[in-house]
Amino acid sequence: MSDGYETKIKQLEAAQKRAETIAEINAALSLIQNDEDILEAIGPFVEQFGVELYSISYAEDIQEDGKPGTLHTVAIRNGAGEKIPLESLPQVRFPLAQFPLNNLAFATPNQPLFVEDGMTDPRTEDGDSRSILTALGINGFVVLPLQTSSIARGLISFNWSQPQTFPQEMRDILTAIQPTLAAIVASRQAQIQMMEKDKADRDKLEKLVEERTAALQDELQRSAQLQQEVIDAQKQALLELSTPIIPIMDRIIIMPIIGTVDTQRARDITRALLRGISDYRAQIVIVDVTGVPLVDTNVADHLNRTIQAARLKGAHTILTGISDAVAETVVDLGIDWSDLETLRDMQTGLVAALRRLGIRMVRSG
Amino acid sequence: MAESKHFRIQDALDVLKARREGMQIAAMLGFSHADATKIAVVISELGRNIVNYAGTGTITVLTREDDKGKSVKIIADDKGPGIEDIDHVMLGGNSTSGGLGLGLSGSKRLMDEFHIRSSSGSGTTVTTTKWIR
Amino acid sequence: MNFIGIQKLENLLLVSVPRDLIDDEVIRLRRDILKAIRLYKTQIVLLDFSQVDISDSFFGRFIYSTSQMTQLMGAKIILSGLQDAVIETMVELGMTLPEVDAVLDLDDALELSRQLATEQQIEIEDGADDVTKQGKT
Repeated sequence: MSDGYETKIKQLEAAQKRAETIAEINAALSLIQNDEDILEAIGPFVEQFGVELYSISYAEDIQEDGKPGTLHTVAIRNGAGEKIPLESLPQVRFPLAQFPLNNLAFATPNQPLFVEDGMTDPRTEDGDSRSILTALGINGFVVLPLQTSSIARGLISFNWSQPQTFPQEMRDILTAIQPTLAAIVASRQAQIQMMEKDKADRDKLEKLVEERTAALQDELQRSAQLQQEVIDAQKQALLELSTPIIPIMDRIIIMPIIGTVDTQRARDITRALLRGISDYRAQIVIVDVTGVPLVDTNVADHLNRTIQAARLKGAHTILTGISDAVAETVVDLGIDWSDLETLRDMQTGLVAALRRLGIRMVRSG
Repeated sequence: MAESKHFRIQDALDVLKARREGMQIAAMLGFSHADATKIAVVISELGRNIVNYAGTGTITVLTREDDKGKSVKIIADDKGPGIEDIDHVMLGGNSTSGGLGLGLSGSKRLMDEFHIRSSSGSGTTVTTTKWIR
Repeated sequence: MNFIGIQKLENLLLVSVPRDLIDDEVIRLRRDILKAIRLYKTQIVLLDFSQVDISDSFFGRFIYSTSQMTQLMGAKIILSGLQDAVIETMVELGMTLPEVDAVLDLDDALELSRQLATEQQIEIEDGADDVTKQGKT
């Protein structure tokens, strides 16, 4: 009777211990943030059993039947729990065809594949399995296929160089945590996929934003330039409106002056006239003052100066539009315009200009 | 920010240098090309007067900013014989045959403010300013 | 004979006035102009001021005196290429040089000199007619 009782207690204790170990491993697994952390969670447990190499791989190129086409090692450690850099491995991607034993593991995806002696186990008999194992220096090994919803997610493998006897505890616990590991890897992959999609989306978004910002900046620049051009054009137009230069014929221009002529305006008029003379290669300028309301000494002075300036540029000026009132004022003020060619109106001025240039206008018919 | 440049005037080359640099100073301050030219002409006139009548003197070009805006002030100074009758000289007139009159009266016309202090035997100082319109 | 800055073109003398004139250079230039007029029997001296950007009273006096001297030699001065800012200053200084003609550019100067040559040709021909009419032997 006591034997049975002790066995029961031993069994219970063992079960409790197993439960605690699984709880520990699960707790560690709940905190993982990357692939290394997965190995970190199960490492201490398996290292107890002298494992020499253990790694985790992700399934890629999932076939129609849910089986992996390739396995991609993402983390690998030695028996001391030390990370082995992936760069030091000759290969990290393995087509499943190269490793028939992995294939075998996925044949029964809901349980681990325990092989205590790779050289003698009947399951390693066919194909090149044994020569591959020898080449890799593997004898005893355990493969944990990780699969959820009938789709391979990856696998975790544990390797020994010598044949082993796997204690029941190890078998039980690895079997117990296999679904959790599968779920975790599946979830990580989904996360990574989402992150990559997110990243791809984000990159796309960033690029789009960049392009739009650059385009916007270009538009802003162009619109600012345009605005400035509009402002300049407006200023120029205003200036021109107040000092219009009208080319009539080859080498004759007319400049009607409208409004009051003060010192600054006189300067603008002179400058516009000089520019007009070079722009149109004018030899004769008809300055019409019909639109100038008041002609006093100052205005007469300004006009004089404008005419002298035109002369120094090689153009002869004909002043037109002198009203009776203006004529009176000019003489009364003692302004001497006798050497100036002054005519009644623009038409007369034009005729005089043409005559001066040696052109005679004849009415046809 | 006020700036000042001092020129020693002893011959025609000094005048050329002063007027060209003066024109640049005016242009950089923001004067239109036409107005910077006028400032150069004034420096030229005042400088020539120094060379022709006093032999040696100085021209100072100052940039200033006040409530009327930015301006260039020219101070032409010499310890020459001086001008006895300033008014008479300033009425110099429009003749192109020149002389002291055209230079001074012309300069006055080109600038906004113009002061001349001179008397026989005690040299001449001309202070004249033009603002950016 | 080689004159610096002076070129003969048809019956024109083309003078490029340098930017900054100082006194002895001016005297030399004027002398060269007069020499050239004598040598080429020039009637029109075209003073090109495109290089000049500052025009004080000295500048005005140069033009005036050169004009007077050339007139004494039976030729005349024509101004061309005056910059707008220079013209503005000259006019404001009252330096309008009324006795001196101006043209816009070289083309116009050439046209003017050709016109003058034609007019003179006509005058000479008219004069010749008069002479023969008077039955001179």
